[in-house]
Amino acid sequence: MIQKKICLLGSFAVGKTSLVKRFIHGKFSDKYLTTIGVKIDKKIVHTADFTAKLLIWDLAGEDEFQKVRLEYLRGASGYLLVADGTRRETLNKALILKEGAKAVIGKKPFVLLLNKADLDGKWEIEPNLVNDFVQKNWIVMTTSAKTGHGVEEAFQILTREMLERENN
Amino acid sequence: MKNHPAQTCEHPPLEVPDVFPLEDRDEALDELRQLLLEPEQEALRKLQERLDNPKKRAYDISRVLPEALVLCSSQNAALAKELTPQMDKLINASIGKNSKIFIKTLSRMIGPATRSALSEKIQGMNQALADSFSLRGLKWRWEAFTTGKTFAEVVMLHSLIYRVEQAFLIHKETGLLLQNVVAKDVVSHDADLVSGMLTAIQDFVKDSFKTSGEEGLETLQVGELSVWIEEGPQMLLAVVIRGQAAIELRTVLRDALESIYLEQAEVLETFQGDNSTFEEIKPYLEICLEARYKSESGKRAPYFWTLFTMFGIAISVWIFFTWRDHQQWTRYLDKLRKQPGIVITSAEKHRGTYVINGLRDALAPDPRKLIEKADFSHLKLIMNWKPYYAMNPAFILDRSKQVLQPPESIDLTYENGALKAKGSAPHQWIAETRILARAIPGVFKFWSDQVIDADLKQLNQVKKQLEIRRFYFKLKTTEFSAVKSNALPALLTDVHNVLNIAEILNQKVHIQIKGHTDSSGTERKNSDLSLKRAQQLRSFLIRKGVSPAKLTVIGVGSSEPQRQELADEDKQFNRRVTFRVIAKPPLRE
Repeated sequence: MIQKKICLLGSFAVGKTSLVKRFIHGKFSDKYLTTIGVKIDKKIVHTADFTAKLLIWDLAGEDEFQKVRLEYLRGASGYLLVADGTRRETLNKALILKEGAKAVIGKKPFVLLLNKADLDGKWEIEPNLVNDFVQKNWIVMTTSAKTGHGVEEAFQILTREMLERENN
Repeated sequence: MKNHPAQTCEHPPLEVPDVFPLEDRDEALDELRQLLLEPEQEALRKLQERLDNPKKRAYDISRVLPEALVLCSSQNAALAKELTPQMDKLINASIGKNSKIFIKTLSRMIGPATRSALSEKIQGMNQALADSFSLRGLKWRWEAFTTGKTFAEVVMLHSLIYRVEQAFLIHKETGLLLQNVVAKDVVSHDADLVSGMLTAIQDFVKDSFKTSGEEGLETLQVGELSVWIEEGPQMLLAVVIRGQAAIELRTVLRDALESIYLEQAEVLETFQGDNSTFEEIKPYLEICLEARYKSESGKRAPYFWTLFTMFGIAISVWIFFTWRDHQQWTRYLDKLRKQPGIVITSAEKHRGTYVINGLRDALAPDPRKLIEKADFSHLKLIMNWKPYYAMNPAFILDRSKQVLQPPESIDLTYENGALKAKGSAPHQWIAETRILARAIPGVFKFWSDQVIDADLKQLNQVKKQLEIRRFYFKLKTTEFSAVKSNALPALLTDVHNVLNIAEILNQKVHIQIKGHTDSSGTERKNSDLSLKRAQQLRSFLIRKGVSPAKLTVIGVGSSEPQRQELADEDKQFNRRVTFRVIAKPPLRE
């Protein structure tokens, strides 16, 4: 079976770990995140076209005490760039992280996730901003780790992207 | 092949007519030569062609080469000697140029050989342990019993120096698992995740401590487990080890990595997450699953020697106790045999039980009491004794004493079948002993002539005492003159004593009370008076309970004076009553 390493990148408290938890029942304790800055989980993704084993590296979000360890990106075939839709600054941070990722692993498939879609009233990201990303052929999705909205699809889309890129 | 030249020689010389011009003759000669020698020429031409054509020559040599080599090597060693350096050079050159082929070939041979050797060693050890019942083995069994672990587990924990339990082959860049193997009976976590985390940790360490170059984490230590990580080109080989592994294991890991790389280099170059081709390299990882035990060949010796020593000690102890028992048994039998009154008829040991049959006099000591302390107390001893009479003098004497119960004043001796009694004894004892003695086994005669009859002696004493007793009377009366106040009671006592003892002695006695007078008066009067005086004392005794039948009276007048009546004073001594004990038959002194 084909295996892929993917990463979750994003600011502190954007809900990366919750997304993974929603996607899979994790095996390792969350304390790894605060100790070595990464937690790894595994999930086999089945679609009509393919089956792949995803090794999901959930990278600790950056805060004032801890920088994202981008070296963990090495060898990743793609990544989920996560921002908190209710906090505009997390999107900026995500874009900076995207550049960092590009420096480490080059151009790789990614999906931008605007998380916390359940908190609709507090939404801070304007649709035109999202349109700009779409113009650049980015894949942008809104997700909610709380309701599960878009989570499964996000992983599937990323997987498909990675596999297609490989075949091309 | 046809022998053309020989045939031509048999013909007469050819006469060539001189009719042809010279050039025509040459032509004709050529033609003739051609006709005659064509087959030979053809053969020569073919031979030349084979020699000139390298391919054909190679083909020819190849056909005879094996045979030639066989001939060469069987005749002498020169060929091998010449070829060896050349072969060495060739191999060297080949390895220098491309070592892959050699490594592949060798690893294919080494892998199965190592596995087979290892498995044999483990099996051998298991067998040795299973067979062992050494002290250590028993201790381990006890530990297994108390801890609830299986015996095999306990043995493994104690005898294992180290064991490589798992091996992970990890793609260095992605952290993806390429292949992993797990030792038998080892519970493993999700290898994909372990592989990812190991890579993450490796990256973390590299990043955190900024190590130079490619150096990364080599060892992780967690309790009795350690993880050794060996880095190769594009791959990490991580092994989980229980115990203290030998440093040589690093070489095994490196070799495995190299072999795998040689096989999978192309796949690794373009690795996109498909690890299906790594199924083939599993044997290389299996080589890494090594185990070393304390129990190696030759280490069986301690078990053997422990067993041997224990067996030796057991045998020695057994021999010692058997010898000691035998000694005690013999000593005891000797003691019994020397014992008077005990006769052993048979003594034997039967299935650990000692059985003694024999005869025992009732007076002999108890055989069980003859057993010394720590003699036979721990053994089963059965004794069957039949009663009998021992005939040695000591026993006969003892038996006589037991039967006759002599008084302390009697001294019994035994000699030559005769029992002798000496001393004094009551009359009844003497009488009974005379009857009983002869009934005692071993007593054929009984001498009692030195035995004094104590009762008879006493009878004579009391008789004498009574017979010297006198009662005196006043002149011509039956009235006592100057009699002591206790004289009558004393008389009564004497009479009772005499009669009682005589009865014990079974003697028929009676007491004669004799009255006397002095010579004054007539004989007739004196006779009456003397009788009356005697009757007076008889009446007194009868009154006091003495049987009348035992008392006779007689009056003898003055016929038996006690003194000559020379003066009147002498007469009063003759007016008296005296006593006499009369026995039938007469008493013996």
